[in-house]
Amino acid sequence: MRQRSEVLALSTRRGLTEITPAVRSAVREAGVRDGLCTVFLRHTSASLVIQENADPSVRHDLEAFLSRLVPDGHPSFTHVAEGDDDMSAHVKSALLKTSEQIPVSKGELALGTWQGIYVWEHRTGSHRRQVAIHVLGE
Amino acid sequence: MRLRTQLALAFLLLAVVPLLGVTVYTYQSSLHAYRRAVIAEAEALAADMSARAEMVEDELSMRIQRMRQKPRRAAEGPFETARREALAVAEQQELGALLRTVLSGTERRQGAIPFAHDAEGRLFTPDKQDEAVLAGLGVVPGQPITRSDAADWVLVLRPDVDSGVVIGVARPLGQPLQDIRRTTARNLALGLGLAALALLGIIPLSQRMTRHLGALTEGAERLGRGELDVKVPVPHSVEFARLAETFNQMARDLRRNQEQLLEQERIRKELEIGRRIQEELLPRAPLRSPFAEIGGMSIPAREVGGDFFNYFPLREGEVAVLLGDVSGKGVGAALLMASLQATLRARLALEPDLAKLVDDLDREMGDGEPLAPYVTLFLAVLEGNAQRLRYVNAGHNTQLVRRRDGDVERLVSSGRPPGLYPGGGYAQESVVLGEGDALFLFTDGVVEAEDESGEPFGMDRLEAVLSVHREDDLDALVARVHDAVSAHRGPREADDDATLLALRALVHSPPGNPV
Repeated sequence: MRQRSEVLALSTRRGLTEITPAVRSAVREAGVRDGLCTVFLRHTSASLVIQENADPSVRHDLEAFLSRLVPDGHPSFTHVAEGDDDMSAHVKSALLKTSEQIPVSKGELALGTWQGIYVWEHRTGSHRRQVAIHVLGE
Repeated sequence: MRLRTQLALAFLLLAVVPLLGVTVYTYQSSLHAYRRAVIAEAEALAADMSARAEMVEDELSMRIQRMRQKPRRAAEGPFETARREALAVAEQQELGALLRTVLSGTERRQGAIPFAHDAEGRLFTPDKQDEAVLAGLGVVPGQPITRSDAADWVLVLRPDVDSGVVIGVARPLGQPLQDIRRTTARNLALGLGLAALALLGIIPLSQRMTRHLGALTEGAERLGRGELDVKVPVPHSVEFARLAETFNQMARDLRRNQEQLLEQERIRKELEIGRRIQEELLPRAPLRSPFAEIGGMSIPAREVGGDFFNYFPLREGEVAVLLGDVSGKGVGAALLMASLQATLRARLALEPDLAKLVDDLDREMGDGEPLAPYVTLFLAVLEGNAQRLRYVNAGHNTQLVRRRDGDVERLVSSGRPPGLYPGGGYAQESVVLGEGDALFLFTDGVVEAEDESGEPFGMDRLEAVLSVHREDDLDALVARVHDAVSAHRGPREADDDATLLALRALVHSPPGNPV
């Protein structure tokens, strides 16, 4: 049994930022043939999702839809100190997810063809985000 | 002229010349005194003779007078004339007989020759043989006396005005003169002998002096030829001892100075070799891959530091970047740098886990002696395809990622400098580099560059420069930082090397980046 963990730092803007190649590279480095890769976003105003990686419009629509669902600066928000986009980002993060578990098979992430791993930034400005990657297997 | 000859000549001048002077003076004055004594004695004798001659003369005069008085009357006849002539002859004969009597009655002391010389030029001597001697003194019969001095004879004359008779005494200086001469010659010979003995004594003395001088001269010549360990013997003589000691001290000082110069030269050369090795190790040109461009520069300082950096392609799409600072300087540091780079280059191809790689390095470097050199290292691999930069910061300054929008992130150290206290371990971290993001690596010479008041350039200023000039290309960015550091430092010379390295991600956003 071997395991390996790493923290991946990245810079994000509102929308989906793909991290699949970085995670894939980290998995290869771990030298695990069969096992499990956990990808965990260490923040509360962004999400980590698996989404389609082919047509950019999918991500555009997702962003548009979610922003309509949880609008920035909703009158009901009381946590407004960090700006209009902050509370809405927390809500979005709560609705979505902050981690994924992806099987590792033959030393590679067992993702579907159109699947990509994305950090979904909910804040409007540019942000530094960290993703913990843990690979366990043998 | 040789010193020895000079000394001998000086001695001769000081010893022999006065000796000669004194001898001559003594001889002359002795001679003079003796001559005066002899003259006085001769004069006494002459006076005695003269007195007796006068008595005889008086008696003779009276007899002649009586003979002349008898025939007064027939004064003018042939008989009278013949009588007068006979009287005159008799007078002359009487005078001669009288003078002879006086002369024969005179004691011939010390070889003195008494003589008389009358108005007619007749010479009376006690002995016929004496005439020859007197002729040598200018007393010749039939001629007036012409006094001619002889060196070893004294001539005393007492002329009698009335009779025209000259009574004289010729006296040889004789044996005493020979004695004086002999004594003088003996004294001179003795003096010269003593002087020669003294000269013999002086020769070793002068030899000793010239030997010391010779030793000094030889020492100086050897010194001139570069034999700096030369040492001349210190003699007992105070002056020469001082000279020799001064010379030895000078030789010692020269040797010490020479050694210091050689040592400085050796250090300078070693640093020069170190610097050359260091420069040889630096990449010659910026690297441009499909995913990134990388460039760097080293700003040399007064003292050679241990900075190094490098970048090179690894596997497909991967580029390795390393930057560090080796402790120490000179050839040792440069060789450590070279071996570190070679080791890293070889192992990066085999070991994807940078943390493990640096950990191994840490343990291997720390195996040596306690004062083994260590290194601060930032090691990174950019995976172009994955837009991921994995890195280990091993005891190095916090390094920076400047995002496209100007934000700056810090990549902090996760362990101790390899080789310092081995075994602490390291963490590999990774960062996603998007289009326009830049990795900026540097050594402490950049942030610690001080201005005239001693204030370091610092991280804040560096971040500000990187943030403001985010649109610049790679070379311009490095130049901006360099200019900012130089401007901050002002006229002050850099104490430490400063090294800058920038990596700029080129990949266009793959599908899936922010919309």
